Amino acid sequence: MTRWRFRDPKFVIGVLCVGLIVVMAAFGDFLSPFDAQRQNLMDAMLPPFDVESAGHIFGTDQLGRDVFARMVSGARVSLLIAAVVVLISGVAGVCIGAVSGYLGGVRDLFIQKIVETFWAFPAILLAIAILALFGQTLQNLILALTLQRWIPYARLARAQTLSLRSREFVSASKILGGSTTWILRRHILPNLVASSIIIATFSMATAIIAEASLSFLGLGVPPSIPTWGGMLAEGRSYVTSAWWLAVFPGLGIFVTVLGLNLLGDWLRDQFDPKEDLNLV
Amino acid sequence: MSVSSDVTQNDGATPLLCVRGITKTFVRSARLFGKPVETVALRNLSVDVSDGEILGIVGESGSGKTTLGRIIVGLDEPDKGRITMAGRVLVDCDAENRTVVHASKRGIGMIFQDPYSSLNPRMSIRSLVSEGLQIAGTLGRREINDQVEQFLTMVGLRASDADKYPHQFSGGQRQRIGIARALIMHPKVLIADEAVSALDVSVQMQVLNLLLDLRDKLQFAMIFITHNIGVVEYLCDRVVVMSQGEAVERGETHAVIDSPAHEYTRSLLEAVPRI
Amino acid sequence: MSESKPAPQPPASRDLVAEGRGVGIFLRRGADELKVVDNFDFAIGRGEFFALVGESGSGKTIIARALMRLLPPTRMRIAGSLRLGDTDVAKAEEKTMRRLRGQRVSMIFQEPMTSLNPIMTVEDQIDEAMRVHGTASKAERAARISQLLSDVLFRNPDQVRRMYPHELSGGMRQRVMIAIALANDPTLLIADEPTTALDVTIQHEIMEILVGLRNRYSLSVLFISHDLALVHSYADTVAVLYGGTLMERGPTRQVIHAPTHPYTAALLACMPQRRLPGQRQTAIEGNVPPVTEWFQGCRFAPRCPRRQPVCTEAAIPMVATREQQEARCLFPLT
Repeated sequence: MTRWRFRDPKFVIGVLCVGLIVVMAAFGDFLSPFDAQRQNLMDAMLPPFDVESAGHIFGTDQLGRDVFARMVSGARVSLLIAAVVVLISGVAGVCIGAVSGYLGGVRDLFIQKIVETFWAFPAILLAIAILALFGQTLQNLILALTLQRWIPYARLARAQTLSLRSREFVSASKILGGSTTWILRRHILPNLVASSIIIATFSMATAIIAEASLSFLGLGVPPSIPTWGGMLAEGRSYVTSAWWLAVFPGLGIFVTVLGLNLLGDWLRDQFDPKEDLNLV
Repeated sequence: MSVSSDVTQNDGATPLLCVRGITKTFVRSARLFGKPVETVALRNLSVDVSDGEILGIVGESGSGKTTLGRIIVGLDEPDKGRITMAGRVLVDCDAENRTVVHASKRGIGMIFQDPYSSLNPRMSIRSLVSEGLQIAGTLGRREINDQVEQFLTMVGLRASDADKYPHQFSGGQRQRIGIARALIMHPKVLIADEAVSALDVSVQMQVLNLLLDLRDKLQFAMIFITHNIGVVEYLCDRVVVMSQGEAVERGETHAVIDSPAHEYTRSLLEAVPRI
Repeated sequence: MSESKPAPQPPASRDLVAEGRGVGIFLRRGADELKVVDNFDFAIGRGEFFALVGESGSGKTIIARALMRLLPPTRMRIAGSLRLGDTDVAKAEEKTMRRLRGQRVSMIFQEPMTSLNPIMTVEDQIDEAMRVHGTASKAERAARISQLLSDVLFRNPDQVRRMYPHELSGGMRQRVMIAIALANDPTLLIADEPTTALDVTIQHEIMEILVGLRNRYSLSVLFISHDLALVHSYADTVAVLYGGTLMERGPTRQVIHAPTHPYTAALLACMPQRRLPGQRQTAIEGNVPPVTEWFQGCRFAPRCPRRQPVCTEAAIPMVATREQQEARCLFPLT
C-alpha cells in the first residue's frame, strides 16, 4: 500500500509555495494597512523595500495604489477563479467520462464525438471568442475557461472505467443486484478519485496561467478588479522605470504554479505502481 | 461405470437446478470488409444439479465452462435454452416470450478466481460483504451488521475484521470474504469459477475444506468450475467434462476418473501429472 | 531430534553450469533494502534438470532473475557467491553479463505472448537472437532455424517460421520461445513457470520437449514451479523454498516420496486427492508470510506442526537427512 512520503522535497517545497500564497490571500488584509483600490497620486511610483515609501512594502503603482494590497486582492481573484474552474471541469469531466466508459456502445461513441469536437478548438481562441461574443463578465470568464478543461478528466476517467468495469468486483455487484447507478457511484467513481486529484493539481496551475493570460490581453475580469495578469499588463509599460509593478505579480504566478506542479508530481509519485516491490 | 451423455439422475429424484439446451455464440467483427467471426462457446449443453450436491465442471481453455457459469448465474444470456430451479423458470430462450430473471433474483451466488480483483480496494469489508443486503434494502443497519459479523465468523475471520480493508488481508482470506459476500444472500446454488486456482497450494486446501464445511452447514448446492483434476476428486460428488462447448462425459467423480469412457477424458487424465 | 551430519561437500566448481553458496538477495528502493532470499545453496551440473519449487514469496523467481542479473545493482544486491560457470554474477560487469545472456544462459517465461514481438515472424525473431550474439552466415542461420523448430517438435517448420505470434496457439508460442532461447546453444535454460498458463495437455508436450532437449544436447534446465506433482515426473533434483529460504533439497523422487522437512511433507499432504465421504485432508493453517515480515530462526515455524521454542531462536543450518538429501530443520522427519 502507498506510504505517504512527507519528507520528499517536492512535497515540502510545494506545500510551502502554495501555503505562502494561500496565507497571503487569506490574511493579507492584516499585513497591509492600505486598500487595494485607493488611489493616491501623491504617493505614486514609490519603490519597494524603501524606508521612505511610507509603509508600502511592495511599493506603489502609477496611480498610487499599494502593490502589496493589490497582490493580495489579485491572489484571491486568481485562486478563486482557478478553484471554481477546476471544480466544475473536474466534476463534470469525471462524470461524463465514467458514464461514457461504463455504458459503452453507441452512447459512448456519441459522447466521444462531442469530446473530439470540443477538443478541436485551440483553447485560447475559444475563450477569446466566448468573451468577445457574450461579454466580459466573471461568469463568462469561468465558462470560457471550463469549456475545454473537462476533457482530460473525461479521457482519463473513461480509460480507467473501461478497465474497471471488467473487474470481478463489478461482476459481483451485478449479481448482487447493483444497478448501473449503484455501480458507478459505489465502485467506479471512488476508484477514479486518486488520479483525478492529480490532474486537478496540474489543471489548477494551468488555470491560473490561462486566467492571467486573458487578463493580460485585457479579456479577463473587468479592469477594476485587480488580477495578477492585469497587473502584469499594466506593469509592462513601466518595466524600466518601476520594475516592481511587473515583477511582483509575475513572481506570484511563478510561485503558485511551481508549488502546484511540485505537489502534482509528488502525488503522481505516491500512486505510481512501479514503486511496488512486485517481483517475488 | 460412468454414463456418457445421459442427463437425468439415476435415482429418479428431481434435480434442484435444470439447465437444458444452452447454446451461446459470440460474434466478433474481425476485419473491415470481412465476415464477422463467430465462436460457438456452448452447444446444446444440458446439466443438472441436485440439492446439496457439489458438481464439478472440468475443461480446458475454450471448453465454455466459464461461459456456462456466467449464464447460469445471470451475467450473460444464452441464445437458446432453458434454466429452471425448484420448478421456477429462471431463463427461457426457447419459448415465444423470452424470459430472463435478473441475477439477483435467482438465488444463485458466485465466487471468483482472482482474490485481488474480486474485492473493491476502496470499500471496507463490512460494505463489501453486506453489499447485496444493502441493495435489497429489506434489513436495517443493525440487522445487516449482525449478519456481517455472523458470516465473517462462519468463514473463519473475526468480527473485528469488518472495519478493515482488502489490502490488509492475504489471498486466502480475501477468498473467504468473497465467500461470505455470496453466502450472506442465502443462495440455493453457489457457483465457484476457479475459486482456488489463484491461491498458494498451502492455502487452497483451507478454502476447499471451508466450502465443504459450509455446504454441510448451510445446505446449498455448488457448481465448481475448474481445470484441476485433483480438486475435482477431492470436492465434487459428480463431474461433467466439457470440451469445445459440449459435455463429452458425465457421472460420479470417482467412476469417471477411474474408467473414463470418452477419448477426450482419457487424454485429459493421462496428461495430468501424478505423484 | 535426529542425529545430524554436517551437509556433504558440494562437487568441484568447474564441472558446474551454475552454483550458489550462501546466496542472499536484497531488493533496493532508494535507501531501503529488503532481504528476499536468505542463505541459498545450490549446484546445477551439465544436463541436470533442476527444479526450484515454492509458493508466492518463496524467492524462486528472484533467484532466476538474479542468475541472469536482470536487475541492475541499484535495484538488487547479491550477497554470497552466485556463479554461472566461472563468472561471478554478483561482481561481473554489465558487458560480461550481456555476453552471457542468450548465449551461456537463456530464459523462457510464463506468458509467451508478452515475450514475443507481435510484428515479427517466428523466423525473424529466432534470427534476431542469433544475430545479436553470433557471426554465422545467413544460410547457416536459416538452417539452424529449421533445426530448432523441429527440436521443439513442430511438424512443419517451413510453415511455422513464416507465421506471426497472433496466429499461433499458446502452446505453439511457448515452443517458439524455447526455440529462440536455444538459438545460441546455451548450457543453461531457465524456465520460469513456463506451463502455468497452459492447458494440461499442452503442458505435457512442453515438458516432453524440455526433457528431449536435455537428453539430446546435455542442456541443463533450471525449472521454476509451484507444482510438486509436475516436477516429480521430470526433474532430477528439487529444491523446496519457503519465504526466501531453502527448506529441502535432494533427488526429486526421493524428496517427494520420503520428505524430511515438515514443510515439504505438509505441502504434499495438502494437495487435494480423493477422499472418503466425511473425511478431510489436513490443511496447513495460517498464511504464507509476506516478504516484508521479519522473522528469526525458521520461516515455517509459525505454521509447523512440529515446532518447538528453539526453532525461532537462531538461524537453522542445513543438515543431511538421507543420502544426497538435506533439510533445514532441527526436527526433520525420518
